[in-house]
Amino acid sequence: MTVKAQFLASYKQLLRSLIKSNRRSKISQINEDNKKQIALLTYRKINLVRQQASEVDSKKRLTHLQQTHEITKLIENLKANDPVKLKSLYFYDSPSRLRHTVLHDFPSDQASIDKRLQHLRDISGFIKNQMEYEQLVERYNPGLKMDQEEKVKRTAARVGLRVPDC
Amino acid sequence: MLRHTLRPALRDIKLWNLRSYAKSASLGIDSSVENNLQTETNRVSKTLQKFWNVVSSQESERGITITLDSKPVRTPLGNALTVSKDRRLLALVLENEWANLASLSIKPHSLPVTSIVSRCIDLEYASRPDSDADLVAKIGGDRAKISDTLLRYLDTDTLLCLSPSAEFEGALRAAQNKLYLPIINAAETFLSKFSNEPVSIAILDADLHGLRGNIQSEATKAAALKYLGSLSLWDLAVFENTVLTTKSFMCGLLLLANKALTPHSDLSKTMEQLAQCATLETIYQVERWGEVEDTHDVDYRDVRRKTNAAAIVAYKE
Repeated sequence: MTVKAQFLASYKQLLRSLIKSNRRSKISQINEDNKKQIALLTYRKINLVRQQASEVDSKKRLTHLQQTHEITKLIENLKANDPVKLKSLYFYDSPSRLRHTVLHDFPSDQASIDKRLQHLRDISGFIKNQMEYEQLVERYNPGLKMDQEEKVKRTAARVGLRVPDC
Repeated sequence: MLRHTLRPALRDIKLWNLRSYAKSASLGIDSSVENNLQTETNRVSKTLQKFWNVVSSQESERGITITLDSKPVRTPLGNALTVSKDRRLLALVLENEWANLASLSIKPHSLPVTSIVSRCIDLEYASRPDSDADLVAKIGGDRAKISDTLLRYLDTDTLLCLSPSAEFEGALRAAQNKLYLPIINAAETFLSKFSNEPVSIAILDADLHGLRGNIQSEATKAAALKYLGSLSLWDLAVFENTVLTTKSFMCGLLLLANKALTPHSDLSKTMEQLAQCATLETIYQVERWGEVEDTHDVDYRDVRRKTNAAAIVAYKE
């Protein structure tokens, strides 16, 4: 195998592990973002409905109604938006920089080549193990990812109480 | 029913918190209340919230700095998170680490590479003559003290304590002999360079010595101290991290020997082999008694992610 082919193989392996671990974190990032957006839009919607109820001018009421519909549509779109289906998450963000760093200026002597190949393997090893580790920690400590509301609910349930719905 | 299923989960959360604080106190993130320096790493560790949009890096004469919304990420002591230009891939890994946090609330274990690099940078800062003595004491930046603490690991090193041959039908001892003895020999020749006479490392052989402590001779200790003194501060931080992860002085020596500018061929090991050396006894225990959930599987990944992270930080073009 030529030097370039060796580096190309390591580069591909690194890219695969990067994409796999990044996809997982991107999905949860997008989900969190969506949640925030939905909360914001719902708040605006409630305000609009209130304004609409107190408005006497029928023309203005109509515009309010239209705006409310638009926001409802946006919320529905966001709810239907499932990042798991996103195809863009199967690609690495900025491959050109990585490719340039990995696949240019190969060292001349064999020892340095081996060392750099080993370095690339270390990086993909790190990324893979870090992802697996985080998955395990999350699995065994479900409380880490729970939000405050869920924690309160479960704490109440432990003593046989139920948090009132609001 | 619900009560029954919830109780272990809640207990685990508490345990986990205790465990993670104990770990994070020694490396990188400072979780003490009195440290209120306005640095990114502190802010993250206190609020556990993400507060930036764009992660990028800036290249200047001093090196490559990781930035959040164009402001540099700073270490617990307030230094910029900057790596030299011969560590380009490390900068990429750091950037990737900050850009891809799996959840928006950040846990101490989410930024392992940043934690080691921060330690490296802060140790370098602590060694400067104009550094603030209080800050240096806060991160435990006294080089002599670090070396002394690390040296204690050489007495009870994982790679120097050999099991009795009666255990596991001799399988564990055979594997230890095969894996450890060549490493010990190579380490002896390697450390001899730091001493006038050949260095011999004391081994605790359970067949011969039974249950007793293991103590290295003064000559060996002096050579090991001289070796630690010869390391750059950056390498010392990596060494410290590896020793704390693997509970083995020899593993730290192996890792640095592999990543040195001129690697030593007789100490050559991949990080997977290194992790296996450090956890050899566990491998046989799991084989015999089975894997314990939330312990063996987590530790397996933990050792590997940490040794790999240390190897990435140690590498230099």
